[in-house]
Amino acid sequence: MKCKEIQDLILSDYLDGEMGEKESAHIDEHIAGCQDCKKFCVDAKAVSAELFEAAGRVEPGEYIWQRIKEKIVAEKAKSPTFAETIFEKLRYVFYIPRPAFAIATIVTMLLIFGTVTRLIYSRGELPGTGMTGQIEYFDYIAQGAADSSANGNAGFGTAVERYFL
Amino acid sequence: MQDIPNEVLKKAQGGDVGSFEIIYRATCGFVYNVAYRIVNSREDAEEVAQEVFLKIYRNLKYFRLESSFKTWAYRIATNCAITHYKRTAREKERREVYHTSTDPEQAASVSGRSGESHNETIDLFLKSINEDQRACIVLRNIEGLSYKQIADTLRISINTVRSRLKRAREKMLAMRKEMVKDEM
Repeated sequence: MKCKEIQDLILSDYLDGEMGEKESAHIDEHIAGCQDCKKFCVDAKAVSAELFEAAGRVEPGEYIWQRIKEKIVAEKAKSPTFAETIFEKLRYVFYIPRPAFAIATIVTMLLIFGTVTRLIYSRGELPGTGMTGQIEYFDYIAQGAADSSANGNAGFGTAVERYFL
Repeated sequence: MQDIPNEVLKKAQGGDVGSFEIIYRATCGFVYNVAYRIVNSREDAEEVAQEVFLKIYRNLKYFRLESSFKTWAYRIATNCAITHYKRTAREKERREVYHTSTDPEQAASVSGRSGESHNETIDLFLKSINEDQRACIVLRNIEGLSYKQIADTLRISINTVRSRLKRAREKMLAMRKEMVKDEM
């Protein structure tokens, strides 16, 4: 490997310990026998690891958290809860006067109401009292007419009818 | 920085300020330091730190708990600092031209002054490189992240990390040579 390639590696992977043992040993070997690369390595270490090793850490003041907290609390106070969000959405849909939308909603609701009512009533009558009652009623009328014609009366043959007629 | 326990993150996601304070206490150090080294001013670093934590608070509900909070927080901190630096660079340049220059000659004279703090020398070196290179140097040399972690944080390839570090060190090396020459 040429000195330039070695020096490029020194400035990145070698100094940062991102190199495999074998490659690192190869560079060590080159540095040991090359004065230029040895000096380059010393200088490179001075502007990377050594320079920053002694870098002091700066600490943020407590007032920074107080400022952040104030903003967060203010934002939290403004933002609605989940229930409030849902309520607001519903209110928006139903209460904001938008004639076309309101009419469409009313028509749809009437249609739904009518369909549901019809379904409930038809379900209640069909299998039970509704049709059966009508059939029994027609039977009764037919029977009464037959009885009255047999007796020579024009009525339906009941005691009440007989009383009035 | 230690990764934050999921229970704390879940509570904070629900808006619990106490849990968010735990997150703040565990991460404010690195957020502030990364910001400070990138923007190179305590005042701006404070602004960036506030911006970072408000961003974290607002976006915490979208954070997936299976991801690394540490990487996510580093990413927000670095991006906010770089954006802030770029936004204020022109204005700062105009202001700072009266105080400090980034050219090697003046840097050498500053470095040569007795009692000059080590941190100011670091600031001068960091000023000589661009903000993308600076972010890599800060994350590697000050925060001690690996190439893989830097790549994940900045969403760049490992080769880009390698190349940015190499170029940054080349510039710093050149600056150091100038400083040494001037001192002699």
